[in-house]
Amino acid sequence: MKQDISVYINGKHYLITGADSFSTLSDFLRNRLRLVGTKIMCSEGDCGACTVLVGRRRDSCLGVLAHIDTNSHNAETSPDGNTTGLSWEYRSVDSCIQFMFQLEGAHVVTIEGLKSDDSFGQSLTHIQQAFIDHQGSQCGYCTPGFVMSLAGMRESNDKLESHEIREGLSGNLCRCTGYVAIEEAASDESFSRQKVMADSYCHDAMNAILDSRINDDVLIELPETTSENIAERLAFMPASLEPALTFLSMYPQATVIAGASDVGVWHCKSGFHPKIILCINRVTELQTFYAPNKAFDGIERESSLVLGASLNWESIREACREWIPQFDSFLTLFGSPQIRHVGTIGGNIVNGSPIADSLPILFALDARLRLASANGDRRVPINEFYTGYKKNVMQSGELLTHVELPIPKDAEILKLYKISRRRDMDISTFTAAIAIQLKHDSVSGFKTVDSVRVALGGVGPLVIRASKTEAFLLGREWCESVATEAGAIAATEVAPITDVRGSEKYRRTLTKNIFQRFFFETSFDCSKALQI
Amino acid sequence: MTQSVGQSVPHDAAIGHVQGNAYYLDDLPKLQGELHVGFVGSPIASGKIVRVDYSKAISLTGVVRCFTVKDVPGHNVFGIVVFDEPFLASEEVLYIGQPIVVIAAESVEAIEQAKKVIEVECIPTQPILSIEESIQHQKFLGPKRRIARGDPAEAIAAATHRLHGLFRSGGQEHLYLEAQAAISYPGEQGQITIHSSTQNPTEIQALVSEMLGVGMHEVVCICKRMGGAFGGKESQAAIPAMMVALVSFHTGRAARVLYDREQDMASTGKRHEYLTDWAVGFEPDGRLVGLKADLYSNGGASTDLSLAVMERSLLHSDNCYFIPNVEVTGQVCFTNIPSNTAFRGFGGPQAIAMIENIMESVAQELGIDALLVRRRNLYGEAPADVTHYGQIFSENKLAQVFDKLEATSNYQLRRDAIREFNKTSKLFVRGLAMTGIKFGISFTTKFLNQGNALVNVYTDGTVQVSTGATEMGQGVNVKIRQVVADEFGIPLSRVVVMATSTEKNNNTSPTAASASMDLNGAAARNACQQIRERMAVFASHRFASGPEGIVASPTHIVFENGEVLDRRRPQDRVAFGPFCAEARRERIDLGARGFFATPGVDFNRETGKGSPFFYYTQGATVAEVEIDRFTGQSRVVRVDLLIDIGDSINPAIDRGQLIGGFIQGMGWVTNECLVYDAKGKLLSNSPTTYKIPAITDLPEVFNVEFFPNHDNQQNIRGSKAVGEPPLMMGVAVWAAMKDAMGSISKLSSSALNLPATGEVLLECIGLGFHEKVSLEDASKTQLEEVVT
Ligand SMILES: Cc1cc2nc3c(=O)[nH]c(=O)nc-3n(C[C@H](O)[C@H](O)[C@H](O)COP(=O)(O)OP(=O)(O)OC[C@H]3O[C@@H](n4cnc5c(N)ncnc54)[C@H](O)[C@@H]3O)c2cc1C
Ligand code: FES
Ligand code: FES
Repeated sequence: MKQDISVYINGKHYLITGADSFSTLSDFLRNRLRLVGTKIMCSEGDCGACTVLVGRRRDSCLGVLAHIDTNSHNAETSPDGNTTGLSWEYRSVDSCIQFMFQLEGAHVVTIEGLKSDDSFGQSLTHIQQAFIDHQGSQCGYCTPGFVMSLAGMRESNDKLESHEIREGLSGNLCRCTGYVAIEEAASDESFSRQKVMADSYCHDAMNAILDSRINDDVLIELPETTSENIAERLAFMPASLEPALTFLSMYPQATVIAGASDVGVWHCKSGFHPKIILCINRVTELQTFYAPNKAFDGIERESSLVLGASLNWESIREACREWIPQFDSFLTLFGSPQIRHVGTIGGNIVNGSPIADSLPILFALDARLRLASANGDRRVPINEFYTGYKKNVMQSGELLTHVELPIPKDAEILKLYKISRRRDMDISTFTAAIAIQLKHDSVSGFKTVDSVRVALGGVGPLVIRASKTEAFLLGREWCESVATEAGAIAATEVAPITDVRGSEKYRRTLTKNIFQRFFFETSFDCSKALQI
Repeated sequence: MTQSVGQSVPHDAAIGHVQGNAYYLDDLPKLQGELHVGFVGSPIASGKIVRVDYSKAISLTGVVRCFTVKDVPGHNVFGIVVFDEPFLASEEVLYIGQPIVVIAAESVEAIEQAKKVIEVECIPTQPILSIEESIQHQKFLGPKRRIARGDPAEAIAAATHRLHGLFRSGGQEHLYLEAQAAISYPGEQGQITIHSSTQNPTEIQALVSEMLGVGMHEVVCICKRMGGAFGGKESQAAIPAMMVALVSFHTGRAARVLYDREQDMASTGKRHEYLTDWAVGFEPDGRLVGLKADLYSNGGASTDLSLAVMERSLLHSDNCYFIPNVEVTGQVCFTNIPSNTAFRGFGGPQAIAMIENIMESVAQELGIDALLVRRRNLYGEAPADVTHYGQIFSENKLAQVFDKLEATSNYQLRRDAIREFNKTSKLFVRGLAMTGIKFGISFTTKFLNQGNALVNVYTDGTVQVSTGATEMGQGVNVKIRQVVADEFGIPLSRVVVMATSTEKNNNTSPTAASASMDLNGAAARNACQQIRERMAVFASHRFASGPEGIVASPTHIVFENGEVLDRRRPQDRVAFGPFCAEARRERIDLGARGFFATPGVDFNRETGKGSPFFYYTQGATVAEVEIDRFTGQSRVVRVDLLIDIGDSINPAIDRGQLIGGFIQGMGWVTNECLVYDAKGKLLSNSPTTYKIPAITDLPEVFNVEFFPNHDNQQNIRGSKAVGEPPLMMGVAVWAAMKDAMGSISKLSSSALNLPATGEVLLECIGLGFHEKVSLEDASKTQLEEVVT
């Protein structure tokens, strides 16, 4: 057991203890290290001004897919054959909603830590120089965040296409430039010459320290427990599941934290400062992914993906790409790259917001959740998981460990919808997942509905399966008027409210319309674009 | 060496920006003993304060002191135009979040704790929360203003066609990335230095001195840079500055405040929401013969800049169009929300959106392309070159700009293609529009049209320049550098623009109205010219030579390529640095204060007549949008911008202003939507709930061009102002959406207000399916009821 957090910042090693462990990364950078290049605008993950890179070695990394193991392309054989040859992955993260206790084993790189190519003759990197050349900054407040996002993209790209730039920078807001100059800076040919982190920093010492503690659990007590004294605040960062469950049985009131993309916002915005924390982002068992047809715990899940609860959204995308490509592309609308690099599927499910983007597909495909506690495991269908607004059947001491997600049947048409005020980087006003299987009636020549599953979100306190609508559709001829009627029925099944993201009426209209849209999308070739 | 002016040199602080070491206020190192400052605001929108109790707060560890209005040593009530805005609420509260108690503490955490235990008890009264309610109660700020020409009532009655309606445009949050912030450093004998994120250091200086009851000469206000402002720090940086000043005054310690995002959004003003009751008369060819429009703006709880904003609206109700008979009136409405304020465009956008809505409506009514209607009405030759306020619109480039853009954007071809697309597409509907802008440059308040500058030349030939212009990202510093470098014929690197400070430049105007380069650049140039004249006299004697027959002649002295020479004997030259050292030894004054006042501008508010503008920045935009018929979600397919900004001092900087302004305008007309609850609390109070454009909202095709023009030589280096005008080019996106709605139904189109969010668009699309109720008529009767 370690009693401090080992973290590198811009190549320098820090052992964090005490109150600093509970600080946000941005506060630590700005107030303790006076690295004020990391700017704060919103303190809730919405602007990207505070973007930094968090590097983790693949085997210690939140969201490394277990099935992509050390034998695959990621492993770099090192001369002595140990794990220190593993590469580090650097991902952009909003530092305002990351806690220091989440960073055990990580290397944080801030704007001050970018290393220029020496031959360049200045202390500027290519990305920075491109920003200057293309007038990518006006007031400059957003600029460090953009530069860091691009530095993150550089890790796995030599060149960025326009759509990659836009998608990759969708988590960074700029109020001044209108983005065009930033886009031009990002497409500058010098991008490929920007040094990657593997060449900017020597990782030997980092590897050595990481190796020495990778299997250790970490416990921070504040103040330290002594004979007279019991700690008032605890943060436990176990490396595996068993100690996590044991801790949870001792402290059932503990706040579980995975990516902190929800909890971090509560910390900054609602004064939520939990006293006892179980941080599960190092627990290896929760980061596993099993593809269909692989044995999991002796049980055959022939047509399900089994996803570890602590997999982040970028890893979920990777895991689903082959099996449910719709989910992969849908997830580009989930938060921003920075959020997808930390936010987990488990956090989304347990937080259980009716506008959580992952829920409609999980509902429609009848996902099952695997819960574990020190007393044993159980499985709960997601359609029976929630009992009320943000309430669920989990008992104290239980942890969500895996999500079993059946893949759609071959003939099933699955579409996922997210309606939000702004297309990217916005919370949904309305969500839907519709999966339908059609049968061709050889006698009538019509298509009829053979099976149908519909889940709707943002239309009440819970995500729902539209069961009346499903019952209505089953066996009907699949045509426009039936789709329209289905919409009308669905509108009677929902109970939306008016809030800052939209009115009750709007949500009802969307519920109604989404069936027609689905019908047209799946019955006609609507891809024909207008080109001049 | 080429001239600096006209070159696309990088932003003054570009290197600092990309390295993260260009400091904003909260990046400044903390002084020993520096206090954190926060505040508790009113819990209700309207009412009387009965009790304020902060006793529990001051007993908390870390909390140093709390302050209320009782602790204000000087004046508590201020205002730029009308004195109606309290610094700290005393008896009455006027909006939710209005500062009541200022907290000074050793840490941010202590402030958070203190906020929880400070008790403020109020007796609520019925708040006024909308323009309609304000009209109903006749609660207005300032007088009604009017500009008129001809007899619009008669012209409309006699016209072949008439239309009338109500048009609403929503407010807009500035969302500068750096929140309101200030730091104060107490000096000797009650003097004080304020660092403020402000567009208006002189005003901060004046208000702090009044609030503390000290002379203006005892207060210095400094602004190095702002992390964005857009008008939001023209008047509204004052309250945070006064907070820290008050704390330093009483404690003798440095003090710092940085609003958190929600506080900033909830307690500061925004762009004014407008409601306009309009009527037009027009002929079958689209020609407008008469316009009557009564504009009502949502001013919020105090006057602030609202009257000037409304004035600019009235002056821009014509936009690019000559309308023979016009009557526009403007009334600022009192409401119980934070006082609305300056925002890029300053009333121009609301007026331009209003008249462009009319252009689209007229086109709908006549069943012709709106571009035809716009063209029919463009300002032209005399007598169609006189605005409704009497200024002659000379140097009119509108027709040429329209011609060029119509061709380069392929307007007609696309118009046909879109018509076809809309007939066949099941999922989407598209719209296209071309709108223009004619934006008047100068403050409409005459006395503000002045600037002063301080130029110091050192003995190594380097130069410092200071003006009243503040740098908020717009690039005014580098442009001033460029001008100054050229005046002395030296490289840009030899000139530095210093932080804006009231110590160096007194009685300055806010950095606003797009005119800061015009005014301060000209003042800086004037200072340089004074120094150069003295230098030239000295140099002429230095180069004079009896044997060579060269008499001293200052007019023959040239400053170029970093050297000084006599044009008649160019071989004998001296480098600028040593020359300056020599000049000093000869007791030549190497510093000067320059001054500039815009000639010939004035406006009579009472008669609504005058020539308030030095010149007009003109341009046009073509926008194409696509809207999902089932969800209302939209995207901007293509945009073409063409703008006349004269001889650009720095084309890359100006292009940045153009694109940035346009995108901000696009945000205003599409998804930026302020939502309040029934009690007047702002719900869209963070970037989570208030959505400015993201990079993925950029038009898929985006063409940006300058219209070549060299005829604005009366202005600094032949340039034109570019700060605000592009924002109004965003209106084209809204007009395109209206055009798209028109292809669904007349009702869909006439029901569209601004902003056109997905929800609003879907609602309008829905109207196409049941054209029964005339929404416009329904709401019209409502307003008539309130007005009478
Ligand atoms: C800027 C921003 C944008 C966002 N955009 C979206 C979006 O587009 N769509 C969307 O759906 N959400 C969005 N979110 C919300 C959030 O990112 C997601 O809900 C995310 O999946 C949460 O995962 P996390 O690991 O960060 O959760 P955390 O914050 O770590 O935890 C969330 C909750 O889940 C509990 N928890 C987490 N893991 C477990 C577990 N294994 N067992 C038991 N309890 C657990 C925690 O105790 C906590 O109550 C956004 C958030 C931000 C800040
Ligand atoms: S400050 Fe906005 S994302 Fe962190
Ligand atoms: S440059 Fe000002 S916010 Fe981006």
